[in-house]
Amino acid sequence: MFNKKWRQESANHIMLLPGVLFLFLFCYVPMFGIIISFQKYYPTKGFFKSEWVGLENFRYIFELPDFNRVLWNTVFIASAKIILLLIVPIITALLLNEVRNVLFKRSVQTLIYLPYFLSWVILAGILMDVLSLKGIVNQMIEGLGMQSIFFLGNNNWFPWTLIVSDTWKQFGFDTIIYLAALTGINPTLYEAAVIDGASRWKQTLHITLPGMAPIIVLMLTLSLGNVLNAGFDQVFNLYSPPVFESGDIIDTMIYRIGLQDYQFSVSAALGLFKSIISFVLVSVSYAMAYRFANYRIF
Amino acid sequence: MLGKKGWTMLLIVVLASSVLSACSGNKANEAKGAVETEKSEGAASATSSAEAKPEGDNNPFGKIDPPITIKSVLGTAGWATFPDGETWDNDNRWTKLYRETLGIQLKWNWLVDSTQYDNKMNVSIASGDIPDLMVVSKKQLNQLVEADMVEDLTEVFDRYAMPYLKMQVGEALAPAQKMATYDGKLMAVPQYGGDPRDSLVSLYIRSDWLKKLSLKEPTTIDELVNVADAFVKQDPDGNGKPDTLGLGILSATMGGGSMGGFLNGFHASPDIWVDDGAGQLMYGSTTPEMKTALGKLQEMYKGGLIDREFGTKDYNRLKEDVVSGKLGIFYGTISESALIAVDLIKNDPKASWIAVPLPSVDGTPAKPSVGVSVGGFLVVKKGFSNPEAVVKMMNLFIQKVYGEDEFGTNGDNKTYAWVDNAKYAMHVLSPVQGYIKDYNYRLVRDALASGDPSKLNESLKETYDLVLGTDGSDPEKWQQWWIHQPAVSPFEVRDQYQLQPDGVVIDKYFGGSTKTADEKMSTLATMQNETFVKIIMNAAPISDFDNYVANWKKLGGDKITQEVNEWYASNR
Repeated sequence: MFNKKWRQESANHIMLLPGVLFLFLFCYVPMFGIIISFQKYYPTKGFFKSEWVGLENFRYIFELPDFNRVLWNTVFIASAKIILLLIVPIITALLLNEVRNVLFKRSVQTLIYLPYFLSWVILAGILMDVLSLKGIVNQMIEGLGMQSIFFLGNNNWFPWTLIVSDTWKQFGFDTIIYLAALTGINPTLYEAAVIDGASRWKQTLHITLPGMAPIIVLMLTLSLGNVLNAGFDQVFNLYSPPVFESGDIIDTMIYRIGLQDYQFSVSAALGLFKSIISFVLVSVSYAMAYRFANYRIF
Repeated sequence: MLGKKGWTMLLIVVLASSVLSACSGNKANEAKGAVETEKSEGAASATSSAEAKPEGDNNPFGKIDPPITIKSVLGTAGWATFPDGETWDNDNRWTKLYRETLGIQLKWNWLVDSTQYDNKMNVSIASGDIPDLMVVSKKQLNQLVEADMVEDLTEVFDRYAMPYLKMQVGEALAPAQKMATYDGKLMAVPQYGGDPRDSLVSLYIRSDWLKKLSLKEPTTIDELVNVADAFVKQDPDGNGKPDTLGLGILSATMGGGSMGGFLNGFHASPDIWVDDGAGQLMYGSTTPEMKTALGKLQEMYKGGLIDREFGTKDYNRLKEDVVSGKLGIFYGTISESALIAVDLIKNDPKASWIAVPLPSVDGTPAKPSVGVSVGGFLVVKKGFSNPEAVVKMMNLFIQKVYGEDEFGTNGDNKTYAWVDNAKYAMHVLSPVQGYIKDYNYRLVRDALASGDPSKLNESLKETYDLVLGTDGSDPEKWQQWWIHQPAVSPFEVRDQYQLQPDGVVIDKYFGGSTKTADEKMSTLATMQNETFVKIIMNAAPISDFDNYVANWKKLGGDKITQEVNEWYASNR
């Protein structure tokens, strides 16, 4: 029995092998480096001779005066991004789905997808111009008779600038995933609903949304791992000293400590802390998806 | 301290100042340069054979016989291009020069983009496989010295450094040399960053605006505020729109474009360690003078004399404001003559600039404050057979790029540094680099004043001719012309500061990062930056400065001060 099955599937397993090796070599072996977060690591001394300090680096992080603020900013910005990135694409997909003019639908789809391909380095340059006090956005606001807003320098506005601009950049991509999910819904269900006299709104509520549910749960599950990822490239390119208070996040802190100050151990400890939290969140959300949405990876 | 990038830019400008925009007969020059090289090589080898002694030969340019191979590494600069046939890793004029003059064959263990150099070096050090000769950072040097991986260079430096280099090390370069000295032993040859005082700031003002509004150059802070006020409110560009800005500053507290010069006007010395008058060092950012200065900036911000968006603007945005004719007053080093001022002239040939000394808040003249600039440290692997090679290479580099004395005798930077009208930067090909105090400005200025260029070497003579041949109306030649007009030149302002025996406040601490500073300094610096910017932007009251000082002390500042003073006690 086993032999027969093995013979049938051996080719598949062999094809899988390079991928597994690759994963092992580049994702699991480097995890050995976690060790430096428990050491006082000096490059001159290497892994084996650096002094072992246990949890000292973690204690140091938690005692950093900025740590609470940074943690809060990270969680706040990342959560808001996750929520918006769930709602906005779903609504967009539903609306686009109702559009009958194929040309219009395709153009909109492409246009909203476009910013996804631009790097934050470029977008940040553009946003700085557009959102500056003399920029086009503020000119419009002033044209409407309101006071101009200092989007990139005011602590009340800055996090929302980050959240909204990130959503704008990303939602086109997610929209396409949801649109794909919509095409997977069996048309006979709609036909049956029409015969039963359901309006378009009722159809959306009772057929479309339940039909999309598995993919929504999947997207949510995948994004929950990002609760501590507030988007390094975006924040790093847009923030400045006046908005450290509302915009400094864990990743920018890791960057400053690790790459600017060469405190590799502290930086690694901070990264490990982040990974552990993310790991817990991913596990929990997977368990929930498993239970409530009958979602299975394997 | 200057950042690595700032440091390089400064050097580029300093070096280029003697060569840029010279514009006649490139080919002839190159040919001449080549001939001269041969001559000086011939001369060098002649002297070495004349003075050759089998043992104890102290010739700074003596050829090592038999020739040796040195394994080294190189950080490559992405912006640099070279004439056909010469590349980073093949036989170029620098490797040839070292081989033919000094008998040193260079072999690269690795080449990496200079932005990645530090990381790559960390990896090399971690793996224990270091080359014979390499450039390291101060932090890496500390570790290498602690791990006993590098040679003591005290003796070879004494024996082989050429007289001009020794003279410079005795004066302008003394702080750099101190940084490389551990317990009296020279553990590395610093990549000299020139005289630290070379990077001091002066105040750049649009003199056409001053004239138009009939204002005089500010010498006090009050006058400076008046000028800024007039620039904002009296429409200096005459376009009828209130679109001009007041004083241009960055959130940085040191360097070109920063608020450092303004703070100096209140006798505060940000980001460096200064003597408190009782023989102890204290951190310049935490003094009461600083609070007063920040209070004034806040007042100016409230009055609209500082750009409302100031905290979010970086250097390039400041430059845009200047070049687009909106901003007419800012603090800059000499580099800003080439990096900012000239771009405005290209955009608006009718504009004109003047550089003046720092306005002071009271009768006492303001002193600019500077950090100690060192690009890196050249170390020789412990146990390497010819440690003197690094000193000889430094001699040769300085001889070729600057000359053997302050008149630039034997200097040949048209072959070895800025080739083809500064189109190619050849000096980046050398693993050993050092920048010393150059006297080019003084020499050319004096020659212009007396009308006698006979003391100038070839490249300075070209600058001399260029300045004489223009009235500043050609934007391409404007920068060279402008910096040689003593009445308005930032070089002249700098020179005047340097001639005063105690005219500039130099960082008194050269020990690199202390143990606590390693861990805490970035947190403290972030806190400082944030507090200062918020105070100025009126997002925090001026009393927050006291909280900042208290927090600074509590969060490691006191400990760092103690460590710095321990160093000061034994190294002053």
